[in-house]
Amino acid sequence: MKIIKLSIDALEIPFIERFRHSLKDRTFSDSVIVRVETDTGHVGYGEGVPRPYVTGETVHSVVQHITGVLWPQISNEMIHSRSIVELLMRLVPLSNLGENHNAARCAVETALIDASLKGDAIGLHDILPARLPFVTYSGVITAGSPKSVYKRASQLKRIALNHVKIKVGVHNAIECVAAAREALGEQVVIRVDANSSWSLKEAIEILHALNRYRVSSCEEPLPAREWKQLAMLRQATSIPLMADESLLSIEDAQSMVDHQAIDLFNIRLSKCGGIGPSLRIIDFARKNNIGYQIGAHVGETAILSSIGRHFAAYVGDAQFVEGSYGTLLLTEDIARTSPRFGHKGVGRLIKGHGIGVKILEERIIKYSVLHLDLMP
Amino acid sequence: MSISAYVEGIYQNQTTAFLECDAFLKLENGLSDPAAYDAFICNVYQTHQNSPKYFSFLMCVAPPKATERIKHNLLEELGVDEEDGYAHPDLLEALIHGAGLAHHMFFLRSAAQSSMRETICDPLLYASLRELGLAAMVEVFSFEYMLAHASTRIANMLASHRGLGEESLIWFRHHSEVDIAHAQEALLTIDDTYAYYDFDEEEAKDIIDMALRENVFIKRYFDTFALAQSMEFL
Repeated sequence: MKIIKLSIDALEIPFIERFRHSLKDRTFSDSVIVRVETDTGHVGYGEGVPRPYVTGETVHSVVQHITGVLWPQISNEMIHSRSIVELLMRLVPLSNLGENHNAARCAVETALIDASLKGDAIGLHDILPARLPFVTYSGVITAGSPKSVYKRASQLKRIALNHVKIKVGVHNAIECVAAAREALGEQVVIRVDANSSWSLKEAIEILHALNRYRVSSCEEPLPAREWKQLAMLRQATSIPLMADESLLSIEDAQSMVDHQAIDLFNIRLSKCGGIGPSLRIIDFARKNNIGYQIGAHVGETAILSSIGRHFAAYVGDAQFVEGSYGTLLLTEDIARTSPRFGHKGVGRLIKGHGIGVKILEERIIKYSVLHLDLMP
Repeated sequence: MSISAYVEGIYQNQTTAFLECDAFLKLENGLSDPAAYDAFICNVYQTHQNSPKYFSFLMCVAPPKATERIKHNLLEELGVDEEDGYAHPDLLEALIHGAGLAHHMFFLRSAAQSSMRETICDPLLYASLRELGLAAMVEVFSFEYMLAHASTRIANMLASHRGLGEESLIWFRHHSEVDIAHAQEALLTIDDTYAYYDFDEEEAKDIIDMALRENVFIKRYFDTFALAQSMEFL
């Protein structure tokens, strides 16, 4: 089948509550939705989440890259669901003159996959068969005061989440983790995410203090890509370190391994460029005995929630999985049936053609702040 | 502090926020476009059209001590508590007809059903009906409380600025009369539920806070944008 039209919508879906970390304070989702139509009448949806402080992308740059680079690559190509991920690794380039366009690529790649699977009346689970009976999600606690962290941790305990990540800064990280541990009890696995906010000295001191609260890993403690400092920190702490903002590509992964700087990768589909590039990083991680989690961007809609579910069930050995927050954070999601996780963080496997969720076009229109149609 | 006092405090704050939000004040001061009044009326219809179903659910989970209260509430919703009672969904239809919006009825019914479908399909966050029941109860009762305090203002607003006659506003007038009693009964039922199901205070407050974490009055009677504006999120 051929793609005869590509539409881009930049959404702003308000959150139920503010979500903070050291790099950003968010009150609405800012996903970019790509909708492709085929000459066979099938429609596919994809999503990318531009983050200027992660991949350097903005909504504007994503639109520009799709319009100027990706659309010309795909508009006259035949696509088919067999080997679609590999096909798209060739068709949809990962980077352009050294710039990073991972969110743009993810949006286009996932839309093409959805459309091609629908065209062949099969689902993402057919090409990425599940190795798990369900996916178990982590909770995430926004940065705040120890009191607010205690309150949110206590709420997450009520819904019986077994894994919780806490966003921390410099000043009250230890108090916040202590509060979370008190609220969650001893059985829940706690991780922290510093979002690049610590210096090496601060990181060593804080992680040393956090040892008593049995923190299972620390995500992005230092400014991104400070490999040597990261390696020094790794030597100085027993808490495993996880790379997030530092990990955008297989080259980043290789650098961290070369520097013996990392224990875990946080692989987020949009940040890493979609399914194909993410699978390559996972393959690399496995070969180098690096653990990993499947992460998510704050405010992802049902599109990436659903794809993330398929992906996590397929890879099967992620230590933690994030995302599928749906209407726990968004005032409204864009699918007919929410792929949000439920009690104990359990997300059921998703069936159905394509990515397996029915997208409500009227919701895309409702929340779109920028719309663009591209045709050959 | 009793758990009902805690809940009442949240209801009070949310009712005040609703009555003071820009979207409502614009309606009340006659500053909105005619379409905004129509949208408000349609949203009220969609929000409450399925109320008897929600009360039926609450009746199933309510403790024995509170069953009669909810049963009475349910029968009233169905209009069979007295001989000349009106079913509330019929009163809401009268509102739509009186506003000249009957041509939207098919869409409104369908939207109300979709909304109920979403509620039913959302994965459950809790392990048992004990927690789910409390969460649903505090959300459903929140409207009883708000309407007891706001329905006269809403009816007056629709009469003044949308020109609705009294025959269209019976649903609001009825709620202003009976919901003060209902609101008090609702708080009593929440206390009974808390005791019957052996909640501890922190647990109950967590569930209540999660259930009432967004202002459903602004969200349902207006939309998610009004809600975001009331929190200065957009």
